[in-house]
Amino acid sequence: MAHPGRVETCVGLLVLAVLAGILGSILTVQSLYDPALFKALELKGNAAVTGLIPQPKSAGKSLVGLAPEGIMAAGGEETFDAETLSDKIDGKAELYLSSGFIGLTTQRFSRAEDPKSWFELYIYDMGEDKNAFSVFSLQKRRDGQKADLGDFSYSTENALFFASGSKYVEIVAAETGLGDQMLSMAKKIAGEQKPAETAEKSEFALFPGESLDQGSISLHMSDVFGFAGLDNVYTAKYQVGGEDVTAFISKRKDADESTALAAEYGRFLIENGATELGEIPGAPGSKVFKIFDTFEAVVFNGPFLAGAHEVENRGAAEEIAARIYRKLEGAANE
Amino acid sequence: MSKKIPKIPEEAARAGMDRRDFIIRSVKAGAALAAAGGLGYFLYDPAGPGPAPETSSLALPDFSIPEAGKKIAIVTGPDRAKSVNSGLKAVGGIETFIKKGDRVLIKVNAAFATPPALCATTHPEILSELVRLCLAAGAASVAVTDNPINNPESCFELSGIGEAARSSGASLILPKDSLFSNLTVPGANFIRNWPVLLGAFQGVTKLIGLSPIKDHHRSGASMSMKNWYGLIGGRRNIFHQDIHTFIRDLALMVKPTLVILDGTFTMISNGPTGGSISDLKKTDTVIVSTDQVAADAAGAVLLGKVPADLPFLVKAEQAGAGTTDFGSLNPVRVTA
Repeated sequence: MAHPGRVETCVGLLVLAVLAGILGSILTVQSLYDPALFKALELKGNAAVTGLIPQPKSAGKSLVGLAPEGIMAAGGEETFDAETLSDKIDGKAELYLSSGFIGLTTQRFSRAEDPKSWFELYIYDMGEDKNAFSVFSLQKRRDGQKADLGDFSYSTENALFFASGSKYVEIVAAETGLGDQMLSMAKKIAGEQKPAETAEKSEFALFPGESLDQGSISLHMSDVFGFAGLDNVYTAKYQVGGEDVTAFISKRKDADESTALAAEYGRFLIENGATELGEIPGAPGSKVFKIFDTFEAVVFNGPFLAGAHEVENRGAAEEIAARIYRKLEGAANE
Repeated sequence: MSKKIPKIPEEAARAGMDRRDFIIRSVKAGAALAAAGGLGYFLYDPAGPGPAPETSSLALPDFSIPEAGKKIAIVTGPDRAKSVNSGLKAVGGIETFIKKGDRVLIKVNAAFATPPALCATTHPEILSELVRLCLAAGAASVAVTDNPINNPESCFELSGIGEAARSSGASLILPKDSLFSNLTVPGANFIRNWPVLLGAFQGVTKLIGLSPIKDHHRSGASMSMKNWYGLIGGRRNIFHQDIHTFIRDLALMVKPTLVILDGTFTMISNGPTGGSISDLKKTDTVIVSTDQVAADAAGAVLLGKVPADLPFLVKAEQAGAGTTDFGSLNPVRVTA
């Protein structure tokens, strides 16, 4: 048998070296196998966390440039995406993640002459105006004072909160007395946003004005009232006969969808222990349910699904639902 | 009919190879390929890699003191230091729990780099007093720990916990990779081969949980049992998907000597971070208990909730971690 030539021997050795390298790489990766990571991925899969995760946009300008006179950065700028948001705000991350969250940029600032007097700026990029309004409205403090930053803003003893365009902004101070500096910074941030759209305001107008607490209007983006099929729901508080009533309105694609959703929601309530009590006079197709010790009224009119949620008094629930039904009649015909 | 004899390839012929050599080489190459394929088939695991075998012999010690019994004290008063003093006296005195030479670990809630005024973290005043009491009872050492994922140094310093610990004579244990080891908790759903801050427990003989009472967006409340979340490492945020079961797991993992809940101010909305002082309600209460489930059930009252509102409480009780019926422990109610 002829012996292989020198070139063949070299090529053979080269192939063997490459194979040895591949084997070494496999063994190295295997030795670094992290069961915790595997378990994490497995759990994520079970939780149906699928699809692409939106990436945060760069904060663009440095936040330091927003600091008014006498205020300086007290730490570096930090950014968080959907994967890391809970590192910063723990369990509250879910509130943002379910409302279209894209990114968070934060930085601490302090008085130049007193570093112990500080506040932290949080700018949440929510992707869309209505998402920013949603997280603003769902966390709104009832005792907040309107701030000079537009309709969707307020201040409390130590903090300032506002939604501007697609951004939701919090400025939280360690103490009182920094309000002017925080407001100055907030105005610069708001000034950089495009003018807020008026979509939310037109939705607000769907709620009948009588005994409405205008400041209570909130937007819930998903899993509303624990029902996975219900999203994009505006809620508002009413006072009826000294009783708090939560009303809700959701604009759907068309009348077919609102009708079908009303039926699905009714079935959901019954599966969870509700009993159907009947129809609200003057609101064809409507239903009133008793669930545990509260009442739920569900109406639909054109593309709108609406009603009253978890009301202690049946009469109050029916009254508000009927009022909304009449108001929606005009809107549905537009 | 004559048989057609196959010719050997021209290249082989040029290399001086005859038909016999060619066949031998071909058979060898075929055998090598078959052996490689067979080996691959033999080693193929259709199930893929599963979690590593749960062979860990590591476990957290049981820090409870059975002879102290199941006790709970609910103290009313605006002064945290006085309240924690009164609460400990009401459950038998600090000496019942901390003996001379004990090495005490206090697990605080230092989850956020926020100021004490927001009550999103353990308040430094109550921590200072607890450290002082432990040392006065003869503890050889007191350490304070937590694993805030984002920038632990900032969390300990801005919350005032770092300074409170140092000034009262305790040491701080900040989380670092070398302190985490994988742990499997028997009966747990999620804490299986998962990194836990076990290094902080080196030599520890007594464990006290010291946490605020807060609303929590996901679990409904953050109190004693949820506070153990800060002992967990890795990408622990995934457990928010089933937070109630995970808190039950935490209650199975940790058997503390005592838990103390600070409800002097209770975060009743926008938890667990809060952000505004208006998220707080002055509730002037401190709860001290040897039963973490009972403590949390009592704390839930300050949030306007009952155990049925907080599934983790019911799950922890069903798992045998304590009782939600804190009234059955005959709570000692005192005013400080």
